[in-house]
Amino acid sequence: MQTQLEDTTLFEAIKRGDHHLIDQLYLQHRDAFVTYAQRQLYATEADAADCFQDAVIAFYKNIVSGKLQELTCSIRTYLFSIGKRLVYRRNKKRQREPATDHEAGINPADELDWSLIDRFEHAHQQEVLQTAMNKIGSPCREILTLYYYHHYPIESITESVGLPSDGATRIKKMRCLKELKKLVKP
Amino acid sequence: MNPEDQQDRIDAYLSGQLTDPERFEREMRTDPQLQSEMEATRMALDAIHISETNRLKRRLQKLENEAVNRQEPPQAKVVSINRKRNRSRYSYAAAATVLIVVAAYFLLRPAAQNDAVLAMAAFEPYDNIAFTITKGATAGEDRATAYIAYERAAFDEAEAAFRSLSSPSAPDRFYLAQSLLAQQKFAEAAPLFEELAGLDDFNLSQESEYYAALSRLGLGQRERAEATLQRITTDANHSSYAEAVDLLEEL
Repeated sequence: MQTQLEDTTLFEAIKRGDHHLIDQLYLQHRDAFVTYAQRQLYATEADAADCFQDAVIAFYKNIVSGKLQELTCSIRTYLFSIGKRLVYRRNKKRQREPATDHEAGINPADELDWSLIDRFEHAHQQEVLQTAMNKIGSPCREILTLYYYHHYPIESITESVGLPSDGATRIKKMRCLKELKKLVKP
Repeated sequence: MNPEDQQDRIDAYLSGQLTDPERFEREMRTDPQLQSEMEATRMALDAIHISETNRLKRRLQKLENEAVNRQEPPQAKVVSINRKRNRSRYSYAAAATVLIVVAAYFLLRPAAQNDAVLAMAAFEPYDNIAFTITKGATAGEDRATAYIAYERAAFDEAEAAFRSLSSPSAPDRFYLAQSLLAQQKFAEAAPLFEELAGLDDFNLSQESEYYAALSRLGLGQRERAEATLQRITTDANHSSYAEAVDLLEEL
């Protein structure tokens, strides 16, 4: 079991923008969640793993967006809470036998911004938007993603992308966004 | 207002960081250009979100596929020490170390103590899957106190908190028994696990049966532990089948 100290260290590192740590999150808790979801939520292994991937991403997104600023329970508890809800939705879609939510009313997932998670399922025009992102190319894609998704400060983006100054990065970001807006406008 | 400042305000509004969002919304209602920029920004951010989420998702799917491909059919006996964990090279090394220590105890200690060591080597506290802990739940919610202590591996505090519950549920009693076993209080853990193992409508009854066997082994009641483990191994679908087989082979 992950200790509180290890959880806090990992949480702080993710907050600082190390998105590669989602691999660690996934590998550390995947087996336990899949076992739990199969036994308690009637999920298949494939569905449980798929939902857990979404749970890890949603957890990460809530941290970097500042929606989740401090841990109030273990990381595993958060991941299980989000993953469990995603499995419920999946089961409902598949009209599988609904599991009884014996934890109804108390759930750390309530602290999270579900609009960040709902977009996984409700993003219509996904292909159009993905195509627009592909079209803007590099380094626009990197700059916009680091700024708007991973919430990197401008100084870090300057360093990551290799632009000469923070001012140049700001201008480039504006131009890239303008181009993307043109591409996605209906 | 220049386009950069306007974009900064739109960004701040969309990320919930604008100090006076109502004023901004009033402005937007009377300014079609601002409204149009806002909608375009929203779509652009959706594009960024979808694209990056898909990339992260592919990254985790790749990990999943690699993990599945690594799982080969069992060709040799593996003695399990850590249950339900990824069996990395390091865990095998850790398992080997523990086995050496256990083997040393076998040679140097009386039988009852050997059994206690063996029981604890096979024991890993069962993850908390019964209770989720929420913000603010620490002040006055007794169950939360108990599970928080359990998750912190403060088993003495968890024991006290679980015992103080006025109407403990079966999962509460299961985690009380876990807390007792973690402290090597075998005599108190064993009957509690046995009682839980006998419940028809308890979803951790099979796990309870296995932990009851561990507790009996800890007490030096090897025959009784073996009988329970034998019973578990007659059912290949038993949730503790693999652990029981491994432990029986060690005994």
